[in-house]
Amino acid sequence: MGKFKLDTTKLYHFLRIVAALLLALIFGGVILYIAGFNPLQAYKLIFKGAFGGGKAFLTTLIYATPLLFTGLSFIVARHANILNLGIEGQLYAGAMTSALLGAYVTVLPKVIHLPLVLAAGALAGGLYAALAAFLKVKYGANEVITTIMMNYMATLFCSYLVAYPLKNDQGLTQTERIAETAQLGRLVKDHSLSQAILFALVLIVVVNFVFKNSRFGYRARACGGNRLAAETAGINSGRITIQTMFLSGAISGLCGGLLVCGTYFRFITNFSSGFGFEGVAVATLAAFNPIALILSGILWGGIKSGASVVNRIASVPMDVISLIQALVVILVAAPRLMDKLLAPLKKFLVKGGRSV
Amino acid sequence: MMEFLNLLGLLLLSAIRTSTPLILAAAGGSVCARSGVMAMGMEGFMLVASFGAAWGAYTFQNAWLGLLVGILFGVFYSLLYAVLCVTFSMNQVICGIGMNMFALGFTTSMTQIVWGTRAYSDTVPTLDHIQLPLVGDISVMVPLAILLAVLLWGYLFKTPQGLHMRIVGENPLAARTIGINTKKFKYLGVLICGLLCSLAGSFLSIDHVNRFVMDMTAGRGYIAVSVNILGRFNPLGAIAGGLLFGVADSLQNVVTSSSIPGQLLSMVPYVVTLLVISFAVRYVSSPAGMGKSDD
Amino acid sequence: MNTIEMRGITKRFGSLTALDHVDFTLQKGEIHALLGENGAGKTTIMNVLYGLLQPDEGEILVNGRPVRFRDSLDAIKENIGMVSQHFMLIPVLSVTENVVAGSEPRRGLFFDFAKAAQQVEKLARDNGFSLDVRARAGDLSVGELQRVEILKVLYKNAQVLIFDEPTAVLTPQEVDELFLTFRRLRDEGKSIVLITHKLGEVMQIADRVTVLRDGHLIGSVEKKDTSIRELVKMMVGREVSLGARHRSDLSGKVKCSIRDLSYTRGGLPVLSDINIDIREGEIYGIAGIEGNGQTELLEVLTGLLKPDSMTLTLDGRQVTGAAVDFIRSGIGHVPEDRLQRGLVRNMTVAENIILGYEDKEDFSRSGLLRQAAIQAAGTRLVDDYNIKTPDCNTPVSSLSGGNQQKVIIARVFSEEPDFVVCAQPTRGIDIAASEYIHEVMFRYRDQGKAILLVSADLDEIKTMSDRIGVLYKGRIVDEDLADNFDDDRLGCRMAGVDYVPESEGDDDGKI
Repeated sequence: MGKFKLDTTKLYHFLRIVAALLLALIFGGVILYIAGFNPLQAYKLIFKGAFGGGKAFLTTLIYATPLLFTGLSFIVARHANILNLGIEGQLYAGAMTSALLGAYVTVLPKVIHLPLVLAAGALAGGLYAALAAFLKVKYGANEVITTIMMNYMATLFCSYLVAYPLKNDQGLTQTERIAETAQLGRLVKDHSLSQAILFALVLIVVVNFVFKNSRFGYRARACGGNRLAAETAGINSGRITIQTMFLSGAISGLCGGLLVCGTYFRFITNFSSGFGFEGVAVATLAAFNPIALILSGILWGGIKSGASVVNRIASVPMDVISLIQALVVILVAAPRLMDKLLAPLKKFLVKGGRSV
Repeated sequence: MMEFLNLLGLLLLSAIRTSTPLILAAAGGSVCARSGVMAMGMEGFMLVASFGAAWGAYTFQNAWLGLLVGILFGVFYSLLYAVLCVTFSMNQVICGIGMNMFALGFTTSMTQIVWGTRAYSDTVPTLDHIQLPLVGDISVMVPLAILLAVLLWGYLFKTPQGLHMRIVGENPLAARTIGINTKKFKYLGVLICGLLCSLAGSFLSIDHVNRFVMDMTAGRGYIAVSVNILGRFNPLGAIAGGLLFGVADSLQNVVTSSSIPGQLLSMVPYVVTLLVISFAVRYVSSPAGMGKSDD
Repeated sequence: MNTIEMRGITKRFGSLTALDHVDFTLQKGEIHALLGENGAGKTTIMNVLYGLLQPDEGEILVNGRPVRFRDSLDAIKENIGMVSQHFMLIPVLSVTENVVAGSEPRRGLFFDFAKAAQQVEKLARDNGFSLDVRARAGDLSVGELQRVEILKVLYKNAQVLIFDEPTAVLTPQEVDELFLTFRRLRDEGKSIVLITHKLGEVMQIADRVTVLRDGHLIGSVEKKDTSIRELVKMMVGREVSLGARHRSDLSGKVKCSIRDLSYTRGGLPVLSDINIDIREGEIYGIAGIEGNGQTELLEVLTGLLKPDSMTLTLDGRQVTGAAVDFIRSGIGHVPEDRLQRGLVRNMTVAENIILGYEDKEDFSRSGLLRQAAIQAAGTRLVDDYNIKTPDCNTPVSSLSGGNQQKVIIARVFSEEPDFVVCAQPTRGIDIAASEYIHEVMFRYRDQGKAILLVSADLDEIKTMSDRIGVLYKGRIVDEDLADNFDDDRLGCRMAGVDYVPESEGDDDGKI
């Protein structure tokens, strides 16, 4: 058909997600109100802090960068119907590996050192995730439990490393600064936004292409949709599961490496403010579509960036954001609840009324 | 030698205390699973109750009122889980994860609002201890956990209602054909789980220590899920499984003086959980209808 | 007075009207067949009567009294009982617990198991069933499970018993026993509703017949006033040829040879010493009660399960390896359960059509999918195989069961494999689609290819197969030309009993 036709069902599905976000923001507003803020005022400040002007927007991109990675990581695993809740741990594994190679390997030229450091970070994250996938495939271990346990293990082990073997002279819980040759440049002059965001955008496009147009992506989606049918069709679902999870973990690990090479220049304990779980929220809001993730990531980055401005006055808003994110995860994943709340709109837009 | 025995005794005593919340949560989780609902939200139930108990105890300056508030918070939170998963047929894993994330954000925000710092609350009154032979001074929650686990076992396996609940968990449609109200039992399963998780969460903040700390449960809700599977979805099995994890969890409390870094000791319960969920529970079959949302 | 009277029952699911003002009456002491195709609304109206579904319009009268059932408990209170097509038993519970659940004897707060076991034992004895009431339901045979289901209903003192396709999984002999039970229950004054699409059964057992088609009542007739031909016409809405198909002459050479197939699980034999040769232009049917190794046989022959021993040759070439190697060697697979193993529901028709063949040059090159070619293939096959769908980019989940099955048939047969393992190809789909699928299979056979057909539907086995092998406890216990099998021989063999041919009369009334 040559003529453009508005698919009202799709429109409804989009509006349903928007409504979930609005509901979550309203609830967050209630908490802000309890905390003594004027919610409208607070949201206005947040919005201004996030998108009011070029410099503010660059700061928003700083906040968005890790979310783009962790969101993408979650989406990748989700394609094969695996819930990768171990993004935080994979991030730590990648960051620590990159920090060590960046600080203690000092003889290499930049063209080799930086890629090596980043690749090692990605590899570490990928292997850590693949271990959970292996346990799932081989022993049927529920990946939700294993990946969450592996988060605690990774964070505790990293804090052990910086507290004991890697303890530095000042007694700070962080590794040595990485060598100049392992550092990633800035994207623009006079602003600390690193080039990592370019990696994120390229990766998003690549991943989107891979899952739409490659044989591997097709097989991963088939396994995700119906594992038994995929196996019946001769697809080795165990191998696909491990490969997909490796890819997912590698993206998280690379993110850890990029944060070390481009932002902190060393491993710092608690460097991640829960990027892993935030990735879940960002990916959910994007309806697990990599391209929509760009918008969703920048939106959350903006909210966080804006909130950090308000945060300087009182530290409530940051935690309220994680609460809003969680609410988005719940509401977007509860289509029947939203259908009930949006019943008149649904009736208007969706014919037949059966589709979910 | 003497020192070793001393240490062992300390370890056991500590294990009994640290296993209490796990026994409570896992026993509740067994009932929830038997009714066919995955107990993925336990982390959140516990965390919310833990905050509620500390807040109640702080506000009323009375630990028992704190416990009551903790129970109200936790049970209400589990009710939300039931509404989403049972009435609105939401994916139970996603719902659990979402609600656990929400619980973390909510309790941290509220801690900031109430006490002005997000990391921990002021000190609050704690529950009185009782004297028991052999173990001496001990929290009332310890015998309560055992008692409740035994009662729930009796309910599930010895009463007609327990049989009905198990049928709902195995095959909801079959339950409906013999006139069993499946939603009622699923709600009941989740609420019982919520109640026990509330006790577990309250124990952490107004018994084990005397304040609420950010992310106080630290994954115990997920560990309880694996205890639950390890105990074959049987409340009595939860006692045994809980004790095993209690030992793992209390190493860090007991071995503090020695040369092993605290971070490594803290890793032990998580490593044990990973090993158990991977290698020890392969042949445990879940209730056949668990995790599915029926219409 | 009618025991049950349903008036103007209407039930809608979204935009679909499953029942449109349907009337149904049931008298005391009658066996009433409810006849119709899959999807005609037979089960739906009985689910309404049993309180599992609430009608949008219409009323129900029990013994002349209007009633309203909110759930099945209300129906049970009116002494209505139902045995579903899929047994509603809990495998991990005992027979006793399964039977009494919902109305258990109690002692104080507790469930009185000993008393329950006694009661169930007596009930079983009274009905002439031999059953171990303490056995786990999961350990029983299909026939025994059905007896447990009947006890379940009788224990609750049902006067109206609804049976949904009860014979689907039974041997002919078990069917006879079941019908004896029906007659006895009728003579005790109970009323029985038999939901079925098998005309032979209707003619054999029913007193009265009600026919539904597409959610509409077509009519109610006394059995003695009707004929199979008339019932078919009522059921399908047109004449259907009931003539037998021509058989293959089996003159081709052996296409597929299965030698020494054995498979054990947990030390127990599941498949033993299976040897089958299938010739070019032959459909070889496997008859057997479900659970005698059919699933494992299918999985072994498609590479999904590693047997302890087997030599499988196709045109003289040996086939080994994993599922993917079997597919590449030219073995097509129509899986038993289309939604479980056949289709990825959230993928499109086109994507499902290439499933298992995505490796082929046509569909992908150097790791990338050839979207244009996949689209073209999808569009062509949707057309070739009469798949009713808006286009090939529609999610397969929005297709009807028959069209979903056609997607699988299109996928497998368009690849022109030498040998197709075809399991339950027409289960749960409408007559038009099944006829079409059977036609495809015949055409394929006539091209000189070989088909192994596994089906729980004995009629399908009998009409489609050129030769039949009977699978019992993992062994082929009998094998012969299809025309040499009659119901008696099939039934005996399926039940593992020796068959002694006797000079018997014609069993008319069966097709």
